[in-house]
Order: sequence, then C-alpha cells, then structure tokens
Amino acid sequence: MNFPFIPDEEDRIMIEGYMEQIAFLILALFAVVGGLITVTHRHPIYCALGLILCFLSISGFYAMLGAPFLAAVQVIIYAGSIMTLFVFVIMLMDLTREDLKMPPSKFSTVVASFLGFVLLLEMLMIIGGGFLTGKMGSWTPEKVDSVGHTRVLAQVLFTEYLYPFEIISFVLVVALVGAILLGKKKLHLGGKE
Amino acid sequence: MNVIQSFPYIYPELILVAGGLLLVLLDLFISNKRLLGYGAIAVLLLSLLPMNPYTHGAEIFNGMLIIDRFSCFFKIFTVLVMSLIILISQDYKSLMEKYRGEYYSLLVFLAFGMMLMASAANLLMLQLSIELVSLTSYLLVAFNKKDARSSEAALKYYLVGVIASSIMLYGMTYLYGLTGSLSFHDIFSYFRDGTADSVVILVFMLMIMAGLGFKIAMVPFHWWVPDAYEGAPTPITAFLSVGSKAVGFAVLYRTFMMVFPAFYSDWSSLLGVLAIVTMTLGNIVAVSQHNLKRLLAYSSIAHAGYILVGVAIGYTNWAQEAILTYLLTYYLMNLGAFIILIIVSNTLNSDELEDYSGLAQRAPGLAACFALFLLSLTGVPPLAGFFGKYYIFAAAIEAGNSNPFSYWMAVAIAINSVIAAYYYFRVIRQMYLVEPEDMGVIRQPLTLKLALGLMVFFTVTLSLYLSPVAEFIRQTSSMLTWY
Amino acid sequence: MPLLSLMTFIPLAGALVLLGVPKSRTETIKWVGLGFTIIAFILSVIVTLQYVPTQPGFQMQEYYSWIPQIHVNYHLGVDGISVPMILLTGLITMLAGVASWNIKIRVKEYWVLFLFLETGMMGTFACLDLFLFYIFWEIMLVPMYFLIGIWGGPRKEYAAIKFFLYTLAGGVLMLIGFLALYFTSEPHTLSIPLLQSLGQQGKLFAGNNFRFYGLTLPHLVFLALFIGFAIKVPVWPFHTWLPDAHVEAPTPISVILAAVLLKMGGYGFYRISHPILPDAAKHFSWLFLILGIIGIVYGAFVALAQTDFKKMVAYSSVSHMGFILLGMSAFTIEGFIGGYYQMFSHGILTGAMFLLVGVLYDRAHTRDLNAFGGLAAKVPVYTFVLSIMALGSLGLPGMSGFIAEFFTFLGAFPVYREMTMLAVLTIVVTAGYILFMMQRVLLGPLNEKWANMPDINARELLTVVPLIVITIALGVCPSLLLNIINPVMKTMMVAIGPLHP
Repeated sequence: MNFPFIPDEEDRIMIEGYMEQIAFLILALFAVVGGLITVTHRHPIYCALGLILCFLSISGFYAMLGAPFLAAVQVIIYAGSIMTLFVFVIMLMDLTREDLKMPPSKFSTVVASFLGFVLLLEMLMIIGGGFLTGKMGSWTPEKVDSVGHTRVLAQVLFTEYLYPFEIISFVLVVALVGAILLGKKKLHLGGKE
Repeated sequence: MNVIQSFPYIYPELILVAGGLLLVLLDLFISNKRLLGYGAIAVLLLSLLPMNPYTHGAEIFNGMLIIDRFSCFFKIFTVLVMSLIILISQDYKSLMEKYRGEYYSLLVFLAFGMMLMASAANLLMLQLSIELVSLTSYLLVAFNKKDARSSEAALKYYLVGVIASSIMLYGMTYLYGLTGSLSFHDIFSYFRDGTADSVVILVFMLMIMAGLGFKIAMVPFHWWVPDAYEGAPTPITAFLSVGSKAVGFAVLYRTFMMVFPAFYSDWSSLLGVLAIVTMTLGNIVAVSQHNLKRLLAYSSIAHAGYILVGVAIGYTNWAQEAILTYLLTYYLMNLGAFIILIIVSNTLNSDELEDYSGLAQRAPGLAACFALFLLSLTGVPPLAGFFGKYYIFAAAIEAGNSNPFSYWMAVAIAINSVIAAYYYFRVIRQMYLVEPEDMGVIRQPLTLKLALGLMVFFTVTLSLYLSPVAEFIRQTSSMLTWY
Repeated sequence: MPLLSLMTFIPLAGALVLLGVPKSRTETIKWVGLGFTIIAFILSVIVTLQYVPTQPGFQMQEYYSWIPQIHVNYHLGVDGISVPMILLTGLITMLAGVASWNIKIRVKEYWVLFLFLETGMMGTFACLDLFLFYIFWEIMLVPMYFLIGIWGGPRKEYAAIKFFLYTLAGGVLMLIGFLALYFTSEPHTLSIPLLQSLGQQGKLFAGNNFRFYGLTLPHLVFLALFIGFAIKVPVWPFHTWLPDAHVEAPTPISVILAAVLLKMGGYGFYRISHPILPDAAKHFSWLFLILGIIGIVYGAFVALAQTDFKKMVAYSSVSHMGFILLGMSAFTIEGFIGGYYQMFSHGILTGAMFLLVGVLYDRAHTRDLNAFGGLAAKVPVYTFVLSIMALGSLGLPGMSGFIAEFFTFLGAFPVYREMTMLAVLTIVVTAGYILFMMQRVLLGPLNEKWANMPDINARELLTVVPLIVITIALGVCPSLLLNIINPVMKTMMVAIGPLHP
C-alpha cells in the first residue's frame, strides 16, 4: 500500500463496502440493544425510549438500502409521533412504584426463551441454507433511481396497490371508532388503539 | 385486471362500506338503536344482490383479489352469518344500549373484512384483511366495557392475535425475499419452476400456518379460545366460532392450495397431524368443562380439527365440498346453540351447566331445540351436522386410496365423535334427566325466537332438500389451482 | 301404495300427532300412541302376507332419487330376511306399548320417543340403501337414550350413556366401512342390492392394494362392519353395555331392546357384511366361531351366577346370541338358517321373559331371585306362563328355541366338530340357570312377604299370550318361518359358496 493513500476506483468500492458493513453493524447493535431494553426494562418510559432507539436504527437501515423516503417516514411517524404519544399516555397513566412491581412469571420466561431460541435456529438454518439470494422484484434500484424514489412510491401506491391502500384507511376508521368507544370515560385495557 | 375494470366486481364490498359508514352517521340522529340493527341487516342482504355465485372467476386489482365461486360462497356465507349475529344481538341484554349503533356498524365492517379475506390472492391483501377482521373482533370482544372478563378476554385475544399475525408477517417477508413478489401467482410459479429446499419452505409455511391457525383455533394456537369465548358478549362468541373460523378456513385452504402445491405432501401431512391433535385435544378438554360457553369453545376447537382434515386432504372435489358443507352445517347448529345460550343467560345471567338443570320441564321447546343442536353437533343423522361429518368422512376415505394416512384421519374422527358425544350428552342429561330447582319462566324475545326457529328448521330439515344444497356447493366449489 | 314407507313413517306421524296433545291428558296420549303401534303392526302383517317367498329378489320396492350428487337414494324393499324382522318389530312394539301402561311420569315425552323409536327400527329393516340404513340405525339411539335415561332404574344415566356411546362408536366405524364400500365400487353406489352383486362377483376393491399388517382393505372394511354390528348383537367382548342397559331400562324398553334392537346386529351380518364381502367373511369365519362359542359359554355361566332376575335374562341373551355367530361361521345353509331362526325365536322368548320379569317387579319392587320363593301356589297363572317361556328359553323341543339351536348345531357340526360339541354341552348350563331360577322363584317355601301378591292381570296376560302362541307354533310347525327365509337363504348360500370349496 503506497503512502499517502490515494484510493483508486477499486479501493473506493472496497472501502465503501467496509463502511457499509461497519454502519450496518453499529445500527444493528443499536437496534438489538433498543429491542432488548424494550422487552426487559421494568419501567414503561425506558421501554418506550428503547423502542425509539430501535426505530431510529431501523430508519438507518432504510437509508442504507437507498430508501430515503421510508427512512424519513420511519423517523417522523414511528419514532416521532407514535412514540411521543406513547410517552404521553404512559405519563398520564401516572404509574407508581407499586404498579411496576409485578414479578415476571418464570414459566413465560422459559417458554419465551425457548421459542426465541427456536426462531434463532430457524434463522441460522435459513441463512446457512444459502437462501438469502432471492429473486429480484420488478422495481430494481436502477429503475427506481431513474424515476425518483418518492414518485415511484406514489405511482405504485395509487395504481397497483390502490385497493390495499384504501383498505388501510378503512382499518384506521375501525381503529378510530374502537379507540373512541373503549377510551370513553376511562382508559381500558384491550383493543388496539 | 386494472383498477377501473375491477370495480364492478366489488359492488358487494362497496355496499357494505357505504352502508357501514352510513350507519355510523345515522347513529347520531336515531335514538332507537333497534332500527339501526335492522338497517345493518338490510345492508348485508343488499350486498347479496350483485353477487354471482356462478362467476367464471377474475383476478381484480392487478391480482390482489380473486373473484371465483369459492370466494363467492364465503361472501354469501358471511352475509348469512353476520345478519344472524345482528339479529340475535337485538335482544342480547348485556350489551350497552348507548353503543349499539357502533356495534352494528362494526359488525358490517367485519363482514367487509371477511369478504376481503375470502378472496385475497396476495400476501399483502391477506395480511390486511386479516388485520381488519382481527382488529374489529378484538373491539367486539371487549365490547362489554363494564365486565372485567370481557376486557381480559379481549386482551388475551389481542395478544395472541398480534403474536400470531407478526409471526405470519415474518414468514411472508421471507417469502417475498425469496420470490420477489407478494402475489400468490408469482410465488406459485417461482416454486413450480425452481427447486426450493422444502425444509426451509416448511419453516415459512409453519409461520403462515401460525397466523391462519390462530384464526381457525388450531392447536397450538388455540389457547385464547376458551377465555375469549367466555368473556366476549355471546353473539360475538357465536361469530368467533362460526364466522371468523369459516373465513379463516377459506384463507388457509386457498393459500396452501394456490401458493404451495409444490410442497403438497409436506403441508398435507403436517396439517393432517395437527388436525388429529386439534380434534383430540379439543374434545378431551371439553369433557371437563362446566361453563357452556367454554364447553362450546373447546367443542369448536374440535370441529376445527374435523374441518382441517378436509384441508389436509386438499386437492379433491370431495375435500372441498366437505369443507364447505361442514362449515354450512356447523353454522346452523352452532349458532343455534349460541342462541339458546343467549336466551337462557338473558333470564338467568349464567352460562353454567348446573343452571340448565331440568330445562326440559321449565322450557320444553327451548330444551328440545338445544338437544337438537347438540345432537346435530354430535353428528346424529338426519340432522344437518351429520351431513357435514359424512362429507368429511367421505373425503378422507376417498383420499385413502392414494394416501393411506387419511384412513387414520377417518378413524381419528370416529373416535373423537364418540368422545364428543359424551360431553354433548352431559348437557342433554342436565336438561332432561335432572329435575329443575326452579321453575321460573324463561323470557323468549321475538327476534331470538325467530332466529332460533330459522336455525332449528334448517338443522332438522336440511336432509329433505340436501340435493339442491349439495348441487349448489358442488357448483360453487372451484378447484383452487392455477393449472 | 307405498306400503313400506307407510309402515315406517306411521309411528313418526303418531309422534307428531302426540306433540299436539296437551301434556295433562295422559289417557288420550296412551290410547293414541297405542293406536299408532297397532296400525304399524297391522301394516307389518300386511307386508308379511303380501310377501311372496318363492319370488326371488326384493319385493315392494320403493325407489326415489334423494341426493343424486352423492348417489344416495331413498330405496326400500323387503326379502325373506327382512320380512320376519319387520313382523317381529311390529308385534313386539305393540306389546311393549301395552306393557307401557304403567309408565306414570312424563307420559307424553315417553310416547313420542317410543313411536319415534319404532320408526327407526322399521326403517332399518326395510331400507336397501346404506346411507338410509345408517340414518335409521343411528336415529334409534337417541330415543333409546332418553327412554333408558328418564324412565329407567337407579343407575339409569350411566346405563343410558354407556349404551349410547358404545353403539355410536360401532355406528361410526360402520359408516367408515360403508364409505369404503362406496368408493371402491364402480360405479360408486350405496345401494345394498347393487353392492351385493358387485361383491359376489368380486368386483369391489378393484385395484386397491392397501395393506395393514397383512390385512387387505376388504378385510378391514369387514372388521369395521363387524365391530359395528357386533356391538349391537352384542358379541363378547363388546357386550358389557347390555347388562347395564337391560337392567336399568323400564320393562317395555328392555323388551324392545332384547327383542328388536339386538337383532339389528345379526340382521346386519345377513344383509350387509356377509353378502357384500363374502371372501372377507370366510376369512374371518374363525372369528365368528371363537367369539360365538365364547359368548355361548360365557353368557351361560355368568347367567348362572346372577341373583338379579333381569341380569340373568340379560346374560342369557349374550349366550343365545352366540348361536347366531356359531351358525354363521360354518357357511352352511343349515347354519345360516339356524342363526336366523335363533334371532327370531330369541326375540319372542326373551321379549316374553322381560315382560314376565317386569310383571314380578311391578308387584315386588325387587328382582332379587333369592327374595322370592314358593310363588307357584300364590300366582298360578303367572307360574304357568313363566314356566312355558323359561322352558322355551332352555331349548325344550316343541318350542322355537329348540328348532333354532338344532339347526345351528346341524349346520356347524360338520365344519367344526369339537367346538360345536362344546356349545352343545353348554345347553346343560343353560338348563341349569333356567331351572335354578324357576326353583328360586316359584318353588320352595313361600316367602311370607309375598303372601298377598296378586296374580298376573288381563292386560299383562295380553302381552305375553301372543308370544307363547308364536313360540309354540314355531316349535311345532317350523315351516311357518322356514318357508319365508329358506328361498332367500338358498340364493345367498349359492352366491357366497361354502367355506372350503
């Protein structure tokens, strides 16, 4: 390696590759840590913060995969508004220390660990089976880039996926009706809000 | 078919959506909620008009949905189930009067979701429609806000549902990654052309089975059933046991038939084993139940096991007709049984088996109807339930020629029928052989009587006109393959 | 005129009529109910008279397409195998109806279920379609459950559910067998006559090579049908529901159970399993032999040990029904006729025995054989009647039981010498328990408790006398029955062929 180091094209690709891997590893680490905090921490506020961390790292993944719109949406909607709402709700619930002292059931811990382990094995098996080389979909990065990311999204959303899109709006209507219904007067468990 | 061309095919759904939203609106002005209920029934029946059960089939919205005879059968079935559920909710006492408007419109939305499920042909549509149905179901299970059991049931139902559906979603992402498409047809052709490793695909299929198995209450995704059934308002319990389960089967059957024919032998034997486990577990646990809602919950798990036999057999005309016939007859008898539960609990405020003591002397007509439904559930001829079971048996025996395992499935059903008879007869015994402790009158409102009358009539007399019904089912069943 | 349909559904019509009668008018209900059983009986007599034994094939057939999609037809018809059973059903049900006079509680429900039961029994014997057969077969279980469960003795609930579950289990297995027959016949059919001719020509199960521990599919189907029928017969070791059900059931229901319901199992062998699957039947002839002999010997010895009158009669049924299997195991015409004759004769004799037990029980409210004694002097008419019937059960020459056993032995002896000898020797045990019973009830010192026991009354006598007449008539003049069954048995034996050709 000569010095001073002037990267040629080949080196640039290699370094980019390294950088990408490093970035991926960091983001993955944050995502996993965030997830762990979410499920293990006793206090809901910390759980919510952990989830925000997780969401942010995932938006990083989207950005790395060349989907800036999704990354932005992920940050604005999930990490931003939804989680803020969560935090508000948790604060409104006004939990005391006694409320939080629910010992986790040993049985469910064992079962959950077992299932998690099985899932891990499955994933290893799938990765080991060389199954990561899937088939390309119809929207390749080149094609997307040529039209523009947001535009493609809009086009597909309002033509090919118009009906599912409308259905989503309908799911929201139902959720809204339900939230009002169950939320009236006092907060109740159950139902998706 | 593109968006514009597709519209004529979704008139039924559009009617439901428009009608449901209209009901939400009218709820603000109409104080007699009973009228809203009838309005909801009218909307549902109206949606029957544009349906064509003998359609030749079309893939609409760029292959998102398939409109074929199979889906049409389930749409008609949805209307039948939901209008009856609304009818029996009219006089269900425990519902809060204030929220009945929302209740009815939610039921209409539910019908919309079920129709979507029945014709989904794309993983995205599948997930969305299941979400719509599940979400509405959670809400309805939790509808008795004042009843802690109802909330608890909803929470349990919700948690299991979310877990199951996220497992399914996870499986779907793998499928998408593997095949580069969400559409059933593309995934199917990928598997047809390529040589995918069946062990890995089995893992994906298992994941998808988790989400769908939750809907049909298949072991091991069944454990929400007893609690949710017990806690939910009884009409909703009836819906869960009949409506939700039926479309769950429609989706399960369609997905496996259309997407994974290449792995038929894998999922067939897997589902076969699960079917046997499901029916056996449901029946054995049902034997020791003292609450009728829980008893019927376990019995509904067992019945899911019987129908699963049909799904496991898969690609024969008999199997498909068996599934449809069984669901139809199960609708008649199980809804009937729940109507009885509603009538009795309206007066007694109880679903405990003990409180049914001597019902035969207290309310002979009611007891006789209940006995008929239970006999039908047992499979005693010539009641409706027998024909469902007959078809399932027939499907299993026919398939035995090429797949000997299905003989054993038939034997398993036979043994299970006997176990089931035992606990159904515990109820009959309580009504007929035990003396009543109290001879109070059991109030029978007109709407419930009407619904009960319909169910009894069809349960008893189905044998007389089974021929046209069988013909209809034969016509509406279309082989779910791409070939 | 659709005579068979009329006969089958008249009782059902009666049940529907009764539903409209107010609950409190018990007398009306009884008379209307009895009236319908009498009409059904008259119709069964007409069927018997119209039947021409010499004419081959099924007669008085009624055929309507019912569910063509699954090849189910409404097909009724009779031949020499079903006619005597139909007559027996009509007669016994009517007599049981007379014996039902002292049912005091929930009279309306009783009669509705009773008439419903008769429709099921008539239909089973009259139908010629497996689907229909299954419907009638299963439909009987439901009224039977209630009749035992509501009006029975102290352990009625246990007995009722045990009876129901046992028979249901057999029934469902049988249904699987039927479906296997359906799918292996080409063209698919559920019609009994068609399946018989297909089976006898060896055209069933073409191309099927399913094996299970060396058993082929026809063998398994035969076993499924066998278990279904054997539970109803009942064949040892499937008999355990029988003593419970018999003992707990009210008298008229015990009578029907013994006289008609047990015959359905045997009828199933004669009508379905043997003609349709002759090769499998021959393959399993050893099973019939062994289980038949065990039933005969076991039933007799257990009956000997009983102190409960009704239980004794119940176990004697197990013993007597063993003769059917013994007769059928030999594949000789005498054996087949003997088994069938035993079915009919047992229906008459045991029906009467249960009636007589009921008469005694109504007076004494106990069935403990040791509690009686010396009744002969107190109730002479009863003693006379009971003695005749008991001796008939024992197989006294001159009565129907003797003819049946004689034919059975005649048929089985050339094929299985040693085993048949064993069965013949069991007659001694039979004589033992019958005579022991008579001694304990009728002879010896009078138990003072029964000093005021009234003799059998006219109504009760009315139920028993016809049976006495028939059993003696059949004993003295067997051709009455033989003329009807002989031609069809001959045809069947020609079609099935001997055990070792």
